[in-house]
Amino acid sequence: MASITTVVLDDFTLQTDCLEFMFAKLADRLDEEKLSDLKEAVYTREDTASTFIDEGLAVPHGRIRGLDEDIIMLGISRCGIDWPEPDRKAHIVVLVGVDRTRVSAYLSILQKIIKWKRATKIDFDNFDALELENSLKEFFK
Amino acid sequence: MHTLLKAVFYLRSRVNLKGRAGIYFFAVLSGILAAFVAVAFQACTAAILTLFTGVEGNDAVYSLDHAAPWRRVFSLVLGGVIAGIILLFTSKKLRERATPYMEAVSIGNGYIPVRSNLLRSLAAIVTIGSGASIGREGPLVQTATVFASIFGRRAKFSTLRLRLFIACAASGAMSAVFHTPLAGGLFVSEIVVGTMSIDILAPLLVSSCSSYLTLTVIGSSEPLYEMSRAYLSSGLSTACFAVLLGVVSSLLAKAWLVWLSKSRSLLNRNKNLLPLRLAIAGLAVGLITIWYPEIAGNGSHIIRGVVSLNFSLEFVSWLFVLKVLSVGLFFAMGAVGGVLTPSLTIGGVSGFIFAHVLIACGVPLSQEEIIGYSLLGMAAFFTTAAAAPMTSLVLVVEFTAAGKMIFPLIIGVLVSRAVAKIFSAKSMYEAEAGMGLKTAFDRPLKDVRIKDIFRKSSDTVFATTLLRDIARIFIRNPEFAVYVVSRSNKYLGSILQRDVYNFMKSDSLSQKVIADDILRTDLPVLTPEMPLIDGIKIFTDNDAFDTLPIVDSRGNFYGVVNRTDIFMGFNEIARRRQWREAR
Repeated sequence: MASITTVVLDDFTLQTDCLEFMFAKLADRLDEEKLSDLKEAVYTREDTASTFIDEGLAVPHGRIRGLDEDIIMLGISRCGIDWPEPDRKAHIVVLVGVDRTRVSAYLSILQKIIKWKRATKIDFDNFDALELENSLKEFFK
Repeated sequence: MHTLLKAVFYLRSRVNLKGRAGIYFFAVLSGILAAFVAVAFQACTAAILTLFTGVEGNDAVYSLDHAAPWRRVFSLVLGGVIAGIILLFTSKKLRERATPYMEAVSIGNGYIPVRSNLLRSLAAIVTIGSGASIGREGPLVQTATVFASIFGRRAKFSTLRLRLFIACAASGAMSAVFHTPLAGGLFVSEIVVGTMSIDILAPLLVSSCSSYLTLTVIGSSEPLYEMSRAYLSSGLSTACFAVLLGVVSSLLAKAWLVWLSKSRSLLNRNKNLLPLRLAIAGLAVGLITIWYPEIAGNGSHIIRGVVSLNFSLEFVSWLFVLKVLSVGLFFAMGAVGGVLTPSLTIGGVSGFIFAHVLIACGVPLSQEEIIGYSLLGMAAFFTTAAAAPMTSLVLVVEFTAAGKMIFPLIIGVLVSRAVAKIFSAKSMYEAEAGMGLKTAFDRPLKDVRIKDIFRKSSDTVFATTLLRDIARIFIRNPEFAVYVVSRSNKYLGSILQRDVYNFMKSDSLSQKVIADDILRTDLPVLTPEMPLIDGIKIFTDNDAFDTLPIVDSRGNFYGVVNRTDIFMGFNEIARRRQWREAR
């Protein structure tokens, strides 16, 4: 099962700042090389096409070599983050990292995230981060 | 809608038309195509025959026999002139060479030029329709393979698959001509492809059976010369006579091949004189038909006469001499036509004469045995003429329904084959099969490259292509993988069907996931210049991959090669090497 952690992103409005913050939070879980690989993969993917999905959800992701465990980091923003344009406000940012070879696993994770987002009503003015994290974990059980 | 999509995808993924099983689907198609071409071809020759002789019918002997003597000569001369003009036009105006289907199958790239071959088919229709002493099976099969080549190229078959598809069409056409599904497949497998492996033979038989079945629906598929009366015992004396007839037939067949070869090299020189030459052949044979109309056509009338014992020994002896002369004359003058049925005819006649020689020597033979020796002569003669013992055996048994005399037939065929080997007799199809031509597969194994067997793939997408569109490609064409390239055709990676298969139904993903998300870069990549043997090793080491991409030195996507093609290529090299060593 993937390990899921949650961060609050209220201090950011720019995509890059948000991502750098999330990567920093991963520093204790990934060695420097893998973190660097993941960063590169995520930014390359964003350059190819935005990972903003809809209804305030963005799923930046990357597949890299040698990742022993799937990474899912849930980020929540009350004010929303420009992803990357101001008309695309991401309130939920789920950073995903999977091993390069686990294509089906990646699709499965993405599918669950989208289903979770559709099934969960989130009041961004008044939410409980822990409760959201637990509800997301329920989808991955 | 999603359930339907899933069901369609499931079915298409289980029936991969470009995979190994797909060839059987196309074999069925090629058989149907071949049957229709055969029926159309025969209808055309019948129409020409009726037009030229003024007698309705599709049997050359019947029509010429019922036509006035001058009309017989007129028909054959007119047919010769028209066919000659068509052939002259083809050789002068068209640059492309009319590649024989045997060459296209055995060593070529599967490309059979359309215009030159169809014009040759037209010339053959006119020649055969005029009553010329030549077989129809060659041009008919050639015509069917032209259409198969067109279809296969449009379907973007790999070279090896295209060749197999054309071989299937040839098999189907043979089956339609002789009403022999088994012999049709064997003929192509043994003579054209040169191997009897089940991988090759199975699709050929599927095609010939499909053609046979189609023929039963749109025409008649009765045995051509049903002769269930034929009988030879399995006793010692019959075995000894079978050995003797095997030797005699083989020597006669060798002489027949020399006659065909020498006469053609002597008379078939100046192409500008083709109309005149064919008119002369028509005139000569036309004059003979005034007294012996039986020599017209491919010889099937003579076979029927011999096996039904309607002809006397003296009459058959005359037919033997005149048939050899008339077929040789048309063949030498450059007529487009086959020599298969004429060869069977001459073989059958020689067996008939052999039986009468035995009677003259005091060996008592029943009528059934005379017919039996005629069929044995036919099989033994064709064995040497075509260098195809299995086909000869099965062909004769199948189109005469004479299965109960299989033992002496086997003896005769094997002896004929042995004698042919001793005298190094070359098959009458050797030149057409083009074994002398050099191709990539003639090189030593180490020198054959991946680029020699590669296949272009249209299944490429860009990094930003949506999963929805990728799924459509897999549904339309369930290949092992789809290849991701940049706008400048740089290879970026591959998307495997098995990775995305379970997510086709997902509406949530179809417009959210792009190719870049799901491409793999861990697939082994081949290069165009890589030796074939290295490619085989990569496939052997990577059992999970059925198809691999080929990427050139600049990183550009070049094409793909699949497991079947690479191993078929290897077989081809081994087969051609064996062929060279055998000679």
